[in-house]
Amino acid sequence: MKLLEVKDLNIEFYDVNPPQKVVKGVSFSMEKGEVLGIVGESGSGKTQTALSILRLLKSGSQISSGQIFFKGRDLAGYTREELQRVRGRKIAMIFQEPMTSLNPVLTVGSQIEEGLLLHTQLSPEERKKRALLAMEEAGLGEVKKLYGKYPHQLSGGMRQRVMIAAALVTEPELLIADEPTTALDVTVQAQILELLKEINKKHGMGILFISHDLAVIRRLCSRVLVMNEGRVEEEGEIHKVFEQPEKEYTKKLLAAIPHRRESLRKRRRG
Amino acid sequence: MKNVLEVKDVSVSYEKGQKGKEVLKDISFEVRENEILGLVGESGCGKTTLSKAILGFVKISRGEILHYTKMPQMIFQDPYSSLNPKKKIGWILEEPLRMQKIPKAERKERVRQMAERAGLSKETLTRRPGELSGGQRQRVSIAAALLQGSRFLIADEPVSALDVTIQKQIMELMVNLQEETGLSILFISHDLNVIYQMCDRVLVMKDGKILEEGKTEDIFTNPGSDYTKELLLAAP
Repeated sequence: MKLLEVKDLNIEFYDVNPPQKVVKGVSFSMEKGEVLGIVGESGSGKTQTALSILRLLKSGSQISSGQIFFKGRDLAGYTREELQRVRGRKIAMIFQEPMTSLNPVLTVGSQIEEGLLLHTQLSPEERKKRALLAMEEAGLGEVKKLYGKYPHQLSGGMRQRVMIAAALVTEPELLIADEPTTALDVTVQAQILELLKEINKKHGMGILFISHDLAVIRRLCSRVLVMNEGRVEEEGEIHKVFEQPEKEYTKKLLAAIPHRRESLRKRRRG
Repeated sequence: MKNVLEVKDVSVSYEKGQKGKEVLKDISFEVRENEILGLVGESGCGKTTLSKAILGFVKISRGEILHYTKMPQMIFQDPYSSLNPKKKIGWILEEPLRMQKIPKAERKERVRQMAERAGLSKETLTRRPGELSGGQRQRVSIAAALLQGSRFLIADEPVSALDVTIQKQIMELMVNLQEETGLSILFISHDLNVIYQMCDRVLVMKDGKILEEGKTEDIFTNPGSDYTKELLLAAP
């Protein structure tokens, strides 16, 4: 059974006149424990696709047709309560700017425990124990001290680690990560990517990783979808797509990545 | 080769809040005529404070900054905040020329020529900033900087907010304009690959200090500091 299967997904913004289709017939699937990347430029529909899986689309947009299967069951058929049990428990999500997802007036510890409070019957002591473990696993040091701190007291990289700890604590089977490293410095970004790789290996947690950055996708993912204007342009094994892209758009995208092979400067090329 | 800017043993401390905290420590370097000098570093390293110090927006506590040309023009990551949202692009571009009391016909002609060089269509000149894409807005801010007639630009993360295909177009535009006009650019970026492709020389900054300085090829093939090595490894 596939972990996730998206079939002929269409999403439209209906609060504009005429309604605008932003995702057009997108289909893909993920195996258990797989790390799949979705790459595309702004407006390609990658974030809308990711948000629709947990039905987090903003008001004014909706899935106009298509199906999303999680372990064989269509999420569209879930009631609100059933969906709430999936969110954060089976499927977790992290975003680009953790500060907007973290509650500024709650301590780090209580936010990491929230998933356990909602989804388990664990005692407060047990919840704290698990939260501290998740924090350690997310690569946070001095976890006991951090437990009582507030989000604004942390750096951007630490906040993203807190988000990852909060996602991990319920041991989800799928993590959806929407540009989680885009706002981070390059050395911190490299650490977070390593962390996600480790977690994937250790727990077999599937990761759907959305990014505009092909180089980041290449570091983490085994397979990739290239999206453009709401459609999947190309899909394949990461090395195949990078080394032998088939579509013109993918070629153009790859050619545009800044690299260290050749300067744009005539005088430096000699 | 002459310099357009010399920064000599400059230190800056922010006194409010954290008392006496030095954010720039004995910074020295020069920007030469006809070069793109890269300044690379992570957030909080002092890159932006340095550009503010050069422009005179923050007071330096020690050292001196010598300008050998008109004050540099700035190009920002998001030009939207520096473009008047109510005015048409043509009007915005004409503004510096208007202040120099250049006659209308000549103003129009110079703006038309510059817009063309910056890859802006005639039609774009009749639009307002909000109607343009991020790439077009960056073209406008480059054209505006060049129309000021400065021989020295400071570009602070000018391509960081752009999609990769647009980013490449703007990088090429800046390189081409530099090569045509021979002006100097201090190019600030956190992206080592962008720096590699654009710059003749590179400064690496960390914690308010310049760790190393050299020709782009030398820094990238033979980094002198551990931090530069770490940056190069981390950059995808």
